[in-house]
Amino acid sequence: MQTLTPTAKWRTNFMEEQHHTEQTKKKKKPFFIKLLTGIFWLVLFVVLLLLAGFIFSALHKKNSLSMLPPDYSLHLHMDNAWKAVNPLVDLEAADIILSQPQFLSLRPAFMSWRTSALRQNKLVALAASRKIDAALYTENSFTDFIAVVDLSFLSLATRLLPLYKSLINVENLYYIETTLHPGVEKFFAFHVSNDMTIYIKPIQNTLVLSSNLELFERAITIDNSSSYSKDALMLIKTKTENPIHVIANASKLSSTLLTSTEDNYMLSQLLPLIKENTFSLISFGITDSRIKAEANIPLDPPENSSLSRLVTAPSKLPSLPARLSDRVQYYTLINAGSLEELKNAAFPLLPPEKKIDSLWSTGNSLCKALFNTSLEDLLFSWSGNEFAVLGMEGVDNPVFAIQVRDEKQRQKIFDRVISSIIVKSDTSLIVDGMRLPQLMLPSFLQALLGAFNINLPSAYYYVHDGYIYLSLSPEPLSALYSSSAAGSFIAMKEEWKDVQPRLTRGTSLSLFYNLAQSTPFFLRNDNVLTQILDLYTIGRTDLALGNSNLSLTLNAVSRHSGDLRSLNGFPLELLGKPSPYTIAKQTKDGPFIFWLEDQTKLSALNTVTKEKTELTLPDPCFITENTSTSDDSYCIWASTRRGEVYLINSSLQIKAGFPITLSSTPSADASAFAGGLAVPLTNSSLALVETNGKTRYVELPLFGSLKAAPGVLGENIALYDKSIMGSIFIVKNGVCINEDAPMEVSGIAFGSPALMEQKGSLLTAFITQSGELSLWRDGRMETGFPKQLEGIFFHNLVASDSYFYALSSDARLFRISPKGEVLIVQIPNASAENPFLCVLEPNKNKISHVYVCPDGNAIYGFNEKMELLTAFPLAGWGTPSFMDTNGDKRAECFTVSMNNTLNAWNLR
Amino acid sequence: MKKIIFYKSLTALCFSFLFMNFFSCATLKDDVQVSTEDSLEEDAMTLLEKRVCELDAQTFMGMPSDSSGANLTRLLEDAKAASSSVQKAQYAKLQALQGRIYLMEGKRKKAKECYTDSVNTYKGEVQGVILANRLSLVHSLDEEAAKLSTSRDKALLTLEKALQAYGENQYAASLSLFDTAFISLPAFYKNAYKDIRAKAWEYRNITGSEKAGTDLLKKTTVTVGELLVIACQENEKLQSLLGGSAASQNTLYRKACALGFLSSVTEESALPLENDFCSKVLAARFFWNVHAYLTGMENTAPYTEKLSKRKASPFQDLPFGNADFDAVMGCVENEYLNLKDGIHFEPESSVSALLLSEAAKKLR
Repeated sequence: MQTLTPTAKWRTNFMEEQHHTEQTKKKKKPFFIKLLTGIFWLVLFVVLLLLAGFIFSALHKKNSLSMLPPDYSLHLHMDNAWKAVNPLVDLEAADIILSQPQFLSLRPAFMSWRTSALRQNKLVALAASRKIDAALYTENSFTDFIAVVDLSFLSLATRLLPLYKSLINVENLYYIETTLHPGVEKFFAFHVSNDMTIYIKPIQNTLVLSSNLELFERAITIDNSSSYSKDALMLIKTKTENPIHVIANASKLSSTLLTSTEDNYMLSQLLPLIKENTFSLISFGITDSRIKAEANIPLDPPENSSLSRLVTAPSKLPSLPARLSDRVQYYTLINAGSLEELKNAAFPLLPPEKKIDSLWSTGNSLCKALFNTSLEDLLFSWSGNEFAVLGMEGVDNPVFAIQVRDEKQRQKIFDRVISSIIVKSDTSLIVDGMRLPQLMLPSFLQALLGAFNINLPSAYYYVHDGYIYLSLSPEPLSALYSSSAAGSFIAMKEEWKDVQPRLTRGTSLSLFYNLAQSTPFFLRNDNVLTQILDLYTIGRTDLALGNSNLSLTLNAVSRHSGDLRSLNGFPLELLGKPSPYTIAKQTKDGPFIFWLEDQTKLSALNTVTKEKTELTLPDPCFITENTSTSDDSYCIWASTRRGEVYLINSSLQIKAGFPITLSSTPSADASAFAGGLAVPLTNSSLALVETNGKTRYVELPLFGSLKAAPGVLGENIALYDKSIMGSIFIVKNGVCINEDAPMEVSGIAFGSPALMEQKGSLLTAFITQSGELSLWRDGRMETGFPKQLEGIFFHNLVASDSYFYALSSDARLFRISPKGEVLIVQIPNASAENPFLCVLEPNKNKISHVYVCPDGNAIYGFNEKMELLTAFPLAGWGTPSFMDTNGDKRAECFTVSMNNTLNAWNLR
Repeated sequence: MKKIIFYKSLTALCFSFLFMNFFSCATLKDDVQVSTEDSLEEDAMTLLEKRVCELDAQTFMGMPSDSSGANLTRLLEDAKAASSSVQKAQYAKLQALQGRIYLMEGKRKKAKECYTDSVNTYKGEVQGVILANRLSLVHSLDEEAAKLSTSRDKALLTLEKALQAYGENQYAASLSLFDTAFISLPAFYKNAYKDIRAKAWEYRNITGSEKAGTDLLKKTTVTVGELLVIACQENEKLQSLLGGSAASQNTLYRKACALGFLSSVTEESALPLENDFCSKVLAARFFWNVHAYLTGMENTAPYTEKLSKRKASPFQDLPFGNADFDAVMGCVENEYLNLKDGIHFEPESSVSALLLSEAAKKLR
């Protein structure tokens, strides 16, 4: 056995200790791991806590209905507010409403929301996909409402509000603590205007909002769930295909509406028919192409009411629409009962001052005396249940159609009337082989009709297919007859079928209009409703009765395919003469249109707020869009005739350091390129101005001079040295790359070369006035070029990504492929000696179109296949510009006109 | 004899009485046969409308009436034949068109009667509004246009506004309205009014209200003296060079001669007289000399030197060695005057006053 020395022992012990320590160290977890583990547990705890919070928030809920007192007039329910409201933002009708002066202040926020990327954000959509119940109370005013938003699991945020309420700092939003309103001691108040404050309080899973403090208290302090009847609850929970459904207390709403519309005697007489305190379901859907609305109103006619019979009998399917000619543009059809039933129902509704009963009895006695028959027999013995008023395009007088139940009896009655000495009849008129008799109605009949605002002193008429048609003039009758005889019926028309109610059922009253051909007189106004209805060109409303229930359907569709209309607020009258171009630009301050008047006055119009600013420059100038990526906050370049260059922002403020004074005066208009602005100068040089004000000059060995704005493509700038011995220079990155070997041109030409990039090569195309077309690839003439085009050319070529375009003086548009293939389109009856030609990408989607303005005030647009674009030609002069200004993802077209106007065309 | 006559009369009376017993008095009236197919053919109406607007355009341009006399008669006959129609709107339109024809003939009273008849028959017919406008019965065409429903009708009133603007010498506005209207109207309207529209295009840059200046600018040929007047009107620098705004044509001419503006560049040639016809080459000579003067150019014949190696002149109608070759070259390159087709200058052709005025504006 080996004996260890003390030193060796110490060493051994030390080693053992070291080993032990290392072992211990190895067993203990490192700090980093500990930290990560700690974070993990913390996060897990927070997530679990949040999850628990969300679950609690979702489960611990209050019924929205319990907070809506049931004495409302209207209850609006949205299962998903996002799905219901988000599509409404894109409606064209919204543009019309927001163009009204009273809503103009809301327009910027609306437009910015319409175009906002947040609308595409799934989290925003999730947050906004909440159930909303709102109710309108019309007892005192039409602005009293309660809205209950079911925040569901998101209510966690409102539940924790007491923790962070002091951090909330929103203008006009106040946190109120009061003892004046028991049960609602703490709430928020948002001051909208002097007339309106909205009170807000989160309660459990909901957020309650109201414009009336008393209603607000009632919503919060009283549980209203037991106040709803079973039927009402069922109606509220009914699922409809439309995202918004509205439940109305029809009797309450109607009485309020009728009180507010003052004296409508007849309508007020109808009020007692509506069952009191029952609810009706109104489902409503609106898109740009269609409006749909359906409503069911329970009726409870008093037993002694004259209308009881009409209301209780179910509506029948009318047969007149199937017989109506397609010349009919609008109609009103009554199919509620026989003439006698209608008389019995309608007479008590007429105001007493009309003395209808006395008129009737006088008429009856006269009738007996003159025709030896009673008025009842005269009118009721032959007529059926359908009565209609028909309106036709281009005709002032309407046609009245009455169903004939008994033709023999009608003939007998008519013969009796005609044979009398007091009724004059003329049967001499024959139209298209059809005799149209004319009947002078006796005065007592005229007086009776007058009570219903029908003026028919004499009537032409004809009887056909079970109906008698009457009109003051024979014109509509002959048109009706001839088109029906030719088999052209309204029921065969697609537009009529489009507005047919979903379910074919009876109707007691039906209204139809079609604005596609012309506008009916009742829509010839310029108010908001007419403008909106004008969007939906064809519409139909049906009212059906039966089982003490009134059902109402409205269907209207838009038929404006390829329609062109001016944007609201345009055309804008200009005080000065505009330069023939506009610049449309989406800036960080909104969408702007820039244009120049009298060559010196630069104007900017924010198309959302309609705010206009002006800047007068000291000399005549030319403006162009700043396409440089280095500073896009300043969007407009202006170069003056004296050689000063300005860089200007959308507020028309000049950038510090500008204007830059150039070494010489410009010899032509400038062009913006990727690096800044290229200005051809009279001293045979090209000035390149950058957005930071730095200016370089490129000296060029010119024989003649630069007479046109340079052609540009990215960093490449092409210049035409205009001369009989002309040449083309290419400047790239501030250097003329072909100074020693310019591309030579024989013959004189206008404009500048067009550039195109293809497979890494730079193509340069140019055409002389006499039509010699040259194409160089990287400075070398392509095989097959120069090529002679037939015509005289006062404008040089322009290029898209695939083609070059040329315009001859006789207004023929040439599309030339880089291989030399040519396609030609003739613009009719036009010349092009002072034309404008450009290629633009209106929707910034890599699809370019070519726009041509021949000599005059009309702009033509063609696609790459040389097909005329929809909505073109349109009124305008020079080059158009495009920008989506209303957020519909389709660009609008802006032009100026020679009669000093700025136009904006909605091309959808 | 008298007895026979009496019995015959009595018999006839008896028969008449019997006949009247069988038929009511109404049926004794002759039937009025109307066919919508004969008179209301859309093509016929279009043809009539076309002829009226052709005539309207001729009358507007003050074309001789002898050529339109026969047309007028035919149109009136057409209108009358078609007016037996029962279509009220069409009748109103025909009456309005007839009124317009009367107005063209100077028969204002008859035109007014037609208008009254048209409006009483059918309100809202656009031809009625046009007639009313011609009769100075319309307060504002814009207000009337707002009442119309179809885009075609509105376009017709835009056309009416174009004619009105032309009559008021607002040529740019007139042109703009013409083209706007033509977008929505049938092609025959564009054909009928193309000459007026072409004039509006030609005169689009005339903005002055002074009749004398406007009349001068409308000239298609000018004298040398007029060239100087026009150039001075449009260019202040030139005006001060040649004696100010109040200077007479003769003063301008004398000063221009003194400054050598009317002398040929390369060789001595006779100066044109003040009242000589100003050909295109003379105009080129003047503009080139002024250009050289204003830019301080020492050598006014640079092209003769530069192009001396070329075998042929770039212009087919102006050879090398022509006294004005450099002037023409200079004017073409500087875009004062253009070649006709890229090859021909047409030196002896006339130049319109408007082209000269545009060229003078470019002199700096």
